[in-house]
Amino acid sequence: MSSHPPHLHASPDDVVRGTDDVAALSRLSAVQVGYMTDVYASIFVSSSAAHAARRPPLINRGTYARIHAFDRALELFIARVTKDCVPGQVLSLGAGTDTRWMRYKDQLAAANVRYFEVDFPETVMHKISCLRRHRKVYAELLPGATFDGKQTTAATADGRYTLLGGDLRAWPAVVERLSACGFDTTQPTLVMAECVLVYVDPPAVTTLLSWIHAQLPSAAVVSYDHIVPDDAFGQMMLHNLSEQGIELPGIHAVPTVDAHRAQLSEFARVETMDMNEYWAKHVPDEEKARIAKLEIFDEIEEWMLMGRHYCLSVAAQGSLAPLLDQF
Amino acid sequence: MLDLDACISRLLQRQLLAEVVVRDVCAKLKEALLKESNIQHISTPVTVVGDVHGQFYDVLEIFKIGGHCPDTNYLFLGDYVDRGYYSVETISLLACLKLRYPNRIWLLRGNHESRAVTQTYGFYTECMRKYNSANVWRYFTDMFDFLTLSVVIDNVIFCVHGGLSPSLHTLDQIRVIDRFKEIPHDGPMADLVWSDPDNAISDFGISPRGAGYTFGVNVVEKFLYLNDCRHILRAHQLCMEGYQVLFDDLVTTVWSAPNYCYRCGNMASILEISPAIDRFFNVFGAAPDTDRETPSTAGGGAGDPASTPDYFL
Repeated sequence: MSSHPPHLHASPDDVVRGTDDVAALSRLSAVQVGYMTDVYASIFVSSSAAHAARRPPLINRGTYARIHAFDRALELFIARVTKDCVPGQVLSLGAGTDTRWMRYKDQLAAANVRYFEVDFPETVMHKISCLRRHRKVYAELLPGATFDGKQTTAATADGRYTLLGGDLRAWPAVVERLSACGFDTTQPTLVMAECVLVYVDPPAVTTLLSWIHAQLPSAAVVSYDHIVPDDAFGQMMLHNLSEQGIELPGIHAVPTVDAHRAQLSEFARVETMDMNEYWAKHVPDEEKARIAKLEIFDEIEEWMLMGRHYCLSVAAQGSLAPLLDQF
Repeated sequence: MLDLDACISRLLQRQLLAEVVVRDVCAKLKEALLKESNIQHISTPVTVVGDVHGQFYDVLEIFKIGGHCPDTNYLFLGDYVDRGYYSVETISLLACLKLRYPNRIWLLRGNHESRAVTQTYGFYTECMRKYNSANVWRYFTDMFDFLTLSVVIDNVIFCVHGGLSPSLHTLDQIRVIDRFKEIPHDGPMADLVWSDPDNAISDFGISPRGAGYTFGVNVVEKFLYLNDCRHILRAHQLCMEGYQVLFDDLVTTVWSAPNYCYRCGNMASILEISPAIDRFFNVFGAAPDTDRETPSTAGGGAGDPASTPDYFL
């Protein structure tokens, strides 16, 4: 094992990109144990890593919970635009090797919802490269896809899925590229930021959220971020992550559930909660019962501690405001 | 011929015992533990230790602040393995100390002293990694079957890893349990190692852990009355301050793994009880990183060679 912590030779951006590897491994672990089905999860984990993918039960359960939250938001959005008989868009920020589009591809097509993913060019390259290594999956998901190497853009032939390389800290440039790819600000749009914004400098987050509020009349935003930096657990969390080179600039600017609510206060409707509240209120009892049978879970106190340190924020305006009734 | 002093000396320097030595220690320890009742009666002075979960350096810290065995009498309330990076060294040391000083150190069985739990929470993986075979894990888990379930201090303090059971009202009922087996999924033996007190209820309730029960003040008062005891001392639940006193001083939880899992940032404590039941919570925090293993220097977490404390990223 190297005596140098891996991050010493990596840039801060590399380290942030590296968090996607952790997420991919956690996702695969949860899938392997049976928390959820995802036939695409293994594509993004090397076979050697896949053998040792299994995470502790607490991590499996929490990974299930965060994926559940965003899946649920997507399902509610799809139901809404279907009911309103209008096309819609999903804008997934910092998605990394997330498989959500793949898992919902058919429902999205049926609902006439286009899906845009934005992440660092390196991450986009990595995602495409993983997909290309699995020909059958590539053929299923991206038949006739075009790839623009200069712009680091991949798009399916039917335009239903677009993968853009970009930097969230340079949002105007990303907006330009989105427009060029057919992103329509007048359409109801679900913006998803699953453990992304907390890594971004607060002014850039403000810019991004203000743009959504100002430019997307019918929009919903869902975000999942670390919170509570200053209790014993939070301090240890920041210390441990810092040892790996991971910093959380957002956690100091938006340190609590209430601060997240305030940050989104321009939107007509806002709900923010920690993941303990999400688990209690929005994961159905049958699911909790099913999950309890998957593996021994002897980490109740730590689960509650962890849950207090992650915030799910949901905000909406325009025709999507009623989505908040479900939260 | 087993040289326990040499074994203990090695372990205190965090050197592993050879597999055949582990085999012999466990075999002899099983013989010794066979003689212990499901309820062992011991006397003060004694220092009570809660969950340590493989946090070897914190066990060394406990001996430093509490006094070394056999100078100080110790009662450990279980959960020696899993989660921490040195479960093997921890249980090896405690096993040797118990064999060497059988009347100076007492070891209860916790819910982690179980084949099923240790396969989920790290001890099995650590044994495989450190010995390249499952034998050591088998020797230890077979030995766990012999660990006693409870202790009564000075006839008045009932000590157990988890808590009470709706099937067990008297100490005599505990005495007749056949404990020499893997912890069952349910029933009185499971309850003793899995249950938790809950001051929101008065009787028994469903446990969120999926094993054991939660129990309230009425249950506690009845148990203490029926058995002429004054207090219940247990572990099993993380306490941010290292200990917690409940039900108007009828139940105490002792927790002895500081900064649990390198994540929780909690304090730990050991409870020093002297004759006349004088009680002192010796609270301590994690040793500075320079004095202990850290995730990056440990050479591996609970089984994972590249592990660092897990978060959602």
